[in-house]
Amino acid sequence: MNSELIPLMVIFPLISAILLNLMHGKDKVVRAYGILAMLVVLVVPIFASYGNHLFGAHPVVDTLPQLKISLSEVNLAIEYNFAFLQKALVFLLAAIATFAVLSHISNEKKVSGVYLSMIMLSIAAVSAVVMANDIFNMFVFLEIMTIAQAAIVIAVGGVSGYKAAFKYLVFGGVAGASILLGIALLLGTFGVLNISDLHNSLSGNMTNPIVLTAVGLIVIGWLFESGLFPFHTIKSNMYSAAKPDIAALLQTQTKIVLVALAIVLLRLFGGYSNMTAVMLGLSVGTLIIGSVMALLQTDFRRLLAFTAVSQAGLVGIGIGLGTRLGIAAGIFHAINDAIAMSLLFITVYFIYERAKTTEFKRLGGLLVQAPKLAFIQIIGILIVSGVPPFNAYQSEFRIIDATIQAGHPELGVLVILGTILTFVALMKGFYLTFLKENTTKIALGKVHIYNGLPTVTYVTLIILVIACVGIGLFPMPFYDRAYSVALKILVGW
Amino acid sequence: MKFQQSQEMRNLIAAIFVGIFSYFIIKALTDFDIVPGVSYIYNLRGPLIAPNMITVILFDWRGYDTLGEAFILITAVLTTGILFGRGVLGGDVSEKDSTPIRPSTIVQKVFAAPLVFIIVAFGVVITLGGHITPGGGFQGGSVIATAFFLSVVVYGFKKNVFNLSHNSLETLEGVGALIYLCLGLVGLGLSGYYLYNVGADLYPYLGVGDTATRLFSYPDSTNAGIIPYLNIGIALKVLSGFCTIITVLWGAEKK
Amino acid sequence: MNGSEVQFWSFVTAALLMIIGIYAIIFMDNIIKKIIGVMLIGDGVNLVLITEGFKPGGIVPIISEKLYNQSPGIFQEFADQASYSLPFALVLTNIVIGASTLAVLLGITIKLYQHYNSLSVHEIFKEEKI
Repeated sequence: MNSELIPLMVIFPLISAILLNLMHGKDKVVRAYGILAMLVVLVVPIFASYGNHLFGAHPVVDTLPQLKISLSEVNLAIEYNFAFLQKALVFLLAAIATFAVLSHISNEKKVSGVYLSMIMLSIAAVSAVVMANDIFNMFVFLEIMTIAQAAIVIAVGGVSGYKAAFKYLVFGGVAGASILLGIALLLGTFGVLNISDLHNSLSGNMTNPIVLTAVGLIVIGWLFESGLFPFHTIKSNMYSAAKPDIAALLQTQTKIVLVALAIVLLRLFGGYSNMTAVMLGLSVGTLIIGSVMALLQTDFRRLLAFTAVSQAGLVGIGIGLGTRLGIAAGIFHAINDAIAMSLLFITVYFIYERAKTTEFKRLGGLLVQAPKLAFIQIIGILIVSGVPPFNAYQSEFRIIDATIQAGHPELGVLVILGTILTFVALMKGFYLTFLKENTTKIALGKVHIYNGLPTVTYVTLIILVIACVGIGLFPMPFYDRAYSVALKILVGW
Repeated sequence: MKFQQSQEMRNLIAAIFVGIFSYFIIKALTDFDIVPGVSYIYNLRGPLIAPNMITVILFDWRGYDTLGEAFILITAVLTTGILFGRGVLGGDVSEKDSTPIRPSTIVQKVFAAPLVFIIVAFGVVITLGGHITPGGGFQGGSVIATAFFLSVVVYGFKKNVFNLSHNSLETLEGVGALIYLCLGLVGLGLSGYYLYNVGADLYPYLGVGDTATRLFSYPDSTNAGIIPYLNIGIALKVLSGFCTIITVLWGAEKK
Repeated sequence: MNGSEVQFWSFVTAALLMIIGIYAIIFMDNIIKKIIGVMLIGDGVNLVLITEGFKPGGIVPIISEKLYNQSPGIFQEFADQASYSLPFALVLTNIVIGASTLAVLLGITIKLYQHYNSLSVHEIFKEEKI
C-alpha cells in the first residue's frame, strides 16, 4: 500500500533545513519558521498511514536467468517501510527534537538558523535510517547524520567540541567505510541492495565466508553508530561537548539508530549465533564500563554522557539475546530510556544555563535555590535506575526476565549490578549538585537559578515525566507492539 | 590512565586488530564471485529512459540516494561555515579576512581568464549532456568549481572572474537543492511516488498526463524526463558547495 | 593480463589501500596523515566497488546509436554486453561522501592548529583522559 506522506517525513525536514539556512540572520523569521516546521514534523508521522513507499514508482519485477540470483522477484526501487515501530520511533525523535528546537528558540538571544538547519538535517537522516528498507540508502543517511551531529557539537564553539567532533568524524569515516565495504561484499555476492531481497537470498547461504566478513564489517559500523564498547568514549565525548539540551536529542538519535540497525542486522544475519554473541558480549561490556566510568566523572555532563552510553549497552543486551522476549524488551527499553535520559539531560541544562558550569567542584547547595528542579531530577534518577512505577522499570524488568528465559541468569545479575552502579553514580551527581554545601567562592548565590525559569523547558520536563509515568502504568500497548516486531524479525518480515 | 599510557596500549591492541582485519579482507576479496544482480535489469530497461546507464541509475532508479548524497555535501558546507563562525551559538563571529595576497605574474593573468571560460564551457557541456555522454551534474559542477578556484588563485577574491559573494553562493546552493527537492515533489503530486520520473513515462498506468510529459521534454531525441533538470540542480549545488568550501578554507586566518 | 586477473589484482590493491589507511590512522602522529588514512580507506572501498562493476570483455554502460536502433524497445544485446552499472553509481555517491568528510576534517584541523600551533596528536589530545 502506498502512502504519500511517508517520504514527507524526510523531505520536509530537508526543505526546512535549506530554508532555515537561507533565513539565517533574520531572527524573527527563523523563530517563526522554526516553530512552524517543528509542528509539521510532529504532525506528519501521526497522520501517515502504514504501508510501503517505492521511490520513483519502480515496482517489484520478476527476475531473469541472466541475473544469476536465487530470487524469483526483485525490487527495483528504494523502498520505505512504515509500521507502528517506525511511527513510534519517528514520533519520539520529532518530540525530543521539538523540545531541543524550542529550548534553543526560547533561551538564546540570537537564534542561529544554521544550527536549527543542522537539527533538521539530523531529524531527516535518522527518520530515513529508521524507515529505509534499502541498505545503501541507510548508509547514505547515516553519513548525513554523522556530519550533522558533528556540526551540532562544533556550533557550541570551543576546542573541546572541535576535538570531540574530529574524533567522531575520523572514526565515523572508518565505520562508514566499514559498512560500505560490507554492503559492497553483499552486493557482489547477491546482486541486490533491498533488505527484504537480501534476507531472502541470504537464508540459504549461511556458510559463505564472504558473508561472514560482511557481517563483521557491518557489526563494526553498528557498534560505532550506537556508541557501544570500543567506541564508548567517542560518543560520550560528543554528548558532553554538546549543549545538554541538544545532548538529549543526540542520545535519542543514537538509541533509535541502534534499534534500527540492530533490526536490519537481525533480519539479515539472524541465523549467525556468533553475531548475536558478539553483540551481547560487547553490550554487557558497555553497560559495566559505562556505569563505572560514570562513577569516576567530576562533571555532571560527562557523568550523564557515560550513563547514556551504559544504558545503550542495556538496550544492546536485550537485542543481543536474540530471543523474542529479549528483542522486544530491548526495543521497549530504547524508547523508555531515550525519554528518561532526555529528562535528566534537560535538568542539567538548567544548571548549565544558570551556573555556566557543570563541574562538581564548583557546584553545590542548589536545593535551596531550586527545590522543584531537584524534585524533578530525583524523579529522573529514579526513572533511569528502574524504580517502579516508571517506564524504565517495566523494560529493565523484562530484560532481566529475558536473560533468565534465555538461559543466562548471570547476565541478569550483571544487568542489576549495572543498574545499581548507574543509580549510585547519578545519586552522587545529585548530592554534589544539590545537597553538598557550596564551599567555592563562585557567586552561585547571586544566580537565581530558579528565577525566570524558561516556561517552555519547564513544560517540557513535565511532559516527559508524564510520558514516563504513563508508559510505566500502561506498558502493554507498547510492549505488545514491540513483541510483534520481534516476532516479525525472527519469523519473517 | 593518562594519554601516553593509553596510547601504547591502544597501539598494541590495534596492531593485532589490523593483522586480523587484513587477513579477512584479503581472504574475502581474493575469492570473490560476482553476480550481475539488479544491474542487469537496470541495463535492460534503462535505455528506455536515457542512453547513459549510470546517470539513469543515479537520477531515476536510485534518485533518492542521490538526493541524500547532495545533502551530505550541503551538510559539509554548512559545517565548514559553522567552524569559521557562521551560525555558531551566541551570534555569528566574522573572522578578519586574511586572504593571502600573492601577486600573479603577467603570464598567469593573461592566460587565466580565457582558460577559466573554456573550463566553464566544458563544465556546462558535461552537465547538460550528462544523460547522453559520460558526465552529469556532479562532474560538471566540480569542473566549474575548478575554474572558480583557478580564478581565485590568480586574481584573488576581490577581482575574480565570477564575482560571487558568500551570500550569493549560499543562495545558489539552496536553489540547486530546492530544484531537486521540488522536482521530486512534482512526481509525488502527479503519481503518488516521490521522484517519479515525470516525462519519461516508464509506467503509463500511473496516469501522469501528457501535459506533464511535454512540460519536461528536453531538446534532444531521448525521453529522459526530469533527469536533465535534476542534473542542472545538482550542478548548481555542487558548484556553489565546492566554491563555498574553497572560499571558507582559503580565507582562514593564518598564524 | 586477462580480465579475471585484472579483477584479482585490483581487489588486492584495494585491500592494500585499506590496510595502509588503517595503519595511518592508528600509528601516525600527524593529524593530516590520519585524515589521509581515512581517505585511503574510502578509496579502497571505492576500488572494490569499481572492480565489482567490471565485467571481463564488457563495454561501457552507455548505449550506442547502433545498438539502440537494432531492435527498438528491447535491449537484450546491450544488457548482455554492458558492465554492471549499479556499483559505479554507488561509487559516485561515496566519492562525494569522502569529499564532504574531508572538507569538514580539514576545517577542524585548521581550527585545532590555530589553537595549539601543532598538528601532533600527542600535543593536541594531551590532557585527554580515557
